[in-house]
Amino acid sequence: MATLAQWKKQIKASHPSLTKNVNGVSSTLSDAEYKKTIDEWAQVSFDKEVAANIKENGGKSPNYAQYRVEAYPSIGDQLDMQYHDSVNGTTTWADAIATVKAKYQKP
Amino acid sequence: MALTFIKSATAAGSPATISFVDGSSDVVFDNTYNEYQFHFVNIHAGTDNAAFGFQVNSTNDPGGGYDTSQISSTFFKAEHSEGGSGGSSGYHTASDQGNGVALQRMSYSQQMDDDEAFSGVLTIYAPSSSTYVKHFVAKGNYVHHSSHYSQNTYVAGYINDTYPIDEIRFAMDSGNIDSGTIHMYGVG
Repeated sequence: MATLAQWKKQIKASHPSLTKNVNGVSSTLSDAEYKKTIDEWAQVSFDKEVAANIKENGGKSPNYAQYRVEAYPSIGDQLDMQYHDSVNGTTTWADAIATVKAKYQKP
Repeated sequence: MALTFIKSATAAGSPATISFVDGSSDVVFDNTYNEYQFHFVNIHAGTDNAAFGFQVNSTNDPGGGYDTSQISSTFFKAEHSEGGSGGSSGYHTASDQGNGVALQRMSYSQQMDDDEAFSGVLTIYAPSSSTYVKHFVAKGNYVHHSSHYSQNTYVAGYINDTYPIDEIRFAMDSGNIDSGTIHMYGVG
């Protein structure tokens, strides 16, 4: 996984200059605008890579609730699990929920 | 209610940002209209997995960095894949803001294949009010970068600023706007 500094270096290399369009007129970004843009893009790219890593492999994240929602079985599947658990005395539903909670943890 | 065309901006040369600023090049973004619409046609990301959105400058920060106006917003999406799977809807917490000053997303993970882009409409109400916060509603559709999902977005909120808004900027959260057109209209 790239560091923030590595992201900045990589984005600078691929975007040696940048333009903006204001009211349909194109111009080159000033040095200050360029630096701010590169810094923002690098931070976003770094954050997304960290988030993707957590989503794939699990871990602690402020976005744990969103990851859990996306990872839980559908409501229909959960109801089906609960029905079979009640008939068979199994813990399929609780196990499935616990697995997701363990993977995506509250910081 | 009729739409009055104000200005178009095309992402020629793949700019980092596209802005509309009141007072030059025939652009009005003031009390001429009580409602403004921005129509996005095939906004193509220059970087995979990028989000397209907007921020504003109010009249107490003219020519500012589009990073001081606070936005509170919600972000809903419905999605379905090209393969016919995954039909669902839900709230996306990573794309909302609670008095945040970041780019307000209207998409959140665009695919950058040559035939894939974002299209939609953003409406901003009474931007020149010096009494009320500025409400906005956006809806759009784009190709999500994961497994080629059609993702339909519904974004709404308010710019928590009672100063008039007269500058708006559109950008990807990372990378250039590779191509696309934005049309600005006044409503009234």
